[in-house]
Amino acid sequence: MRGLAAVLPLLAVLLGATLLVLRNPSRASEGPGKAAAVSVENMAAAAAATASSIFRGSAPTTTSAVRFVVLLRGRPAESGISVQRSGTGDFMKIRTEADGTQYLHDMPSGEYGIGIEREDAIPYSTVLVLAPGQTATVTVELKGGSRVSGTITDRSGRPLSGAQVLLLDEETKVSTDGRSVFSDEHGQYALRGVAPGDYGIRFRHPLYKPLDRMGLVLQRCGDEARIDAVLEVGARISGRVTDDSGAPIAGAELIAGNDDSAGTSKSAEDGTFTVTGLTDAPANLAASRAGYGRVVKRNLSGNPGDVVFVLPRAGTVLGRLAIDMVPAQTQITLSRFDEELRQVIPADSRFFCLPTTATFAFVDVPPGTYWLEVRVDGYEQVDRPQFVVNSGELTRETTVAMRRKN
Amino acid sequence: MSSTTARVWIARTAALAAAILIPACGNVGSPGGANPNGILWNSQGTTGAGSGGTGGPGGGLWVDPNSGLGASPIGISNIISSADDATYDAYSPGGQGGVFISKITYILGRFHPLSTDTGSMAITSRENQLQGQINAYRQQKLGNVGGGGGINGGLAVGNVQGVILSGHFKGTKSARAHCKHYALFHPGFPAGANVEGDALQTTAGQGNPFGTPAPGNPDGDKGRLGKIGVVALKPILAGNSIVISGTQYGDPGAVFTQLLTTQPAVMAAVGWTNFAVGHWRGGPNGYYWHIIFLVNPVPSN
Repeated sequence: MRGLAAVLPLLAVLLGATLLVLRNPSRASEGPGKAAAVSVENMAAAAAATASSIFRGSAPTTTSAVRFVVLLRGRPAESGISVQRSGTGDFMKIRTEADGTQYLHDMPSGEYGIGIEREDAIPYSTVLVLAPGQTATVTVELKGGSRVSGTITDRSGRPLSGAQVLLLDEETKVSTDGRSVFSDEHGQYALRGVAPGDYGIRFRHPLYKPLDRMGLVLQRCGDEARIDAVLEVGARISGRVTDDSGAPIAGAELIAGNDDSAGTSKSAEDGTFTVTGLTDAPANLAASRAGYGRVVKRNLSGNPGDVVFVLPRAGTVLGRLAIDMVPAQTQITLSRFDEELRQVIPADSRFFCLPTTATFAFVDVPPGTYWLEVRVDGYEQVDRPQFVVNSGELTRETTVAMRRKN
Repeated sequence: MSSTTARVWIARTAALAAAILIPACGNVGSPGGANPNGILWNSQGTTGAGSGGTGGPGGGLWVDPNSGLGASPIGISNIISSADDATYDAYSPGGQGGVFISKITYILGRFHPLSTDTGSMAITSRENQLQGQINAYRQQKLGNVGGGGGINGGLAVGNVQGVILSGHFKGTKSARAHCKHYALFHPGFPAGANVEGDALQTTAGQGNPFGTPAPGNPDGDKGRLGKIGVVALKPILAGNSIVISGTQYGDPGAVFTQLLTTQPAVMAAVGWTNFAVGHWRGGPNGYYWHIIFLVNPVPSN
């Protein structure tokens, strides 16, 4: 009978309900992009693990485990799974087997974020809390997403490969989930696993004008939409970048932009560059490189091919705060006097995490006359020191005095 | 009954119980369907692969959490020092007496960050770099750049106000917390509302998604900024909250290029007064960025 008495608690452990909480955040269950059926079972695998321990004569395990069962349209669905141990840097990315299952074991108890993805399904996420020694089964019935596809060509009908296609939120015009795809050699693209909703599509190609196609409505999972796009060759700006001796500067970054488009490029060994893919509106073009001051050319239009940038050697601004306590973060704005506007305008503004010496530096500052403005919670600036930045030189350390506000 | 007999009896009973229970746990076998060995959970403190899994031990399945990306160390959470001065569980909006003195619960027991401070240069230097790139683009687009103090530069034109945006202390901590939140708590990094239900500025009709009452919480129906005491005017353009994540975004330059591709109009719009750039690293997506553009936030920093 003593043996039976010893067995009864064990059976209670084996057969009793174990605490297992699957929290399904409301947005995950209600949002059109994340709905999925989920079930969680108290698992006999835990019992098996416990029994195994007993056979070995050791103490019951306290680690936990999760068995995943992923389905799509009622059939096993091979999928990617991300498991994030909440509040830590621990995570794993795994895949299910072909039968849609996977078993992850020897997990510490606690809370986990779970994400399940498959190209043709709406991504699913949830939160799972594992008690010590328990095994959970997470059964997820993924919802098949809609598919948006099409062909991208130029005006002659030639298919364009390498065009980036992004799904936009109709209202915000922000990329909905950061996903994008590129057109293949046949100019074809396909966005899959899209949740019902109102969208737009943005087409971007380095050589062609950008194109947005809004007004895409996907009402149900499984909707198919076809959106073809014809892209027009974009405007281009060409030229070269040199230093003030006329020597070419390689690796300078060129950034062009106007109201509708933007493009980037780097200068070649001989200093030449071409920025492409712009609309026809006049564009501003900036050239910069470490060690040199940044230069901007404005209102460039008509596909100019001879834009020359001469970058001045930049200076470095050194400074220090005179303050009774170094703050966690300090905002320092570098301003300069603009000859044309006849007033001080901000040239750069950064957050600094200052060292105990409260020193800071701005690098790659074009020559000119500058001021420093400092913002620290609870403090005010006593003065506004002025200094000159010369080409290729360090300034003397400028001290900015700060005092507590009354 | 001897102890040996008892042990055998227990073992037999346990085996019987297991035999009864295992078939009930699912319809595809146990413990892992086609992969009965399963995959071993590896904590961050342990390198190496899991046992089992398609492709052999670890194989392509395992993402080494020490590197995060299967590449050089990126400084994931254990070496990023930070302080969450507001979380979903506790917050003192006035900050009187410390953040936990006057406790207001948004979601009981959830310490997911709402506002994160850090002195980590790995984080702040990259935030600064992206801020600088955005401001430089605004200068270029909107004017007021003399191009080297008159040396070979273009004309200084355009409006003076609002070209260079000031960073916003509290907004930056909110943006950083949003990134940390997803790096440490949730796979994926969706635009719009977070898993807890909060959008950036409003939480329309959301209430508490976890159903836990938050007694006396005056900010429970506010968005993430409102919950940390920041109020801003309506954005001049939709899309003022931009999230970007992925292993390809370790360099702020890659983020800026993506912004140029997807959001050049928002980035260079006239009317913003402040912006906030938050960054965190680690977690399933590797690198997380949140960029917020604001109009007249109160408090002003």
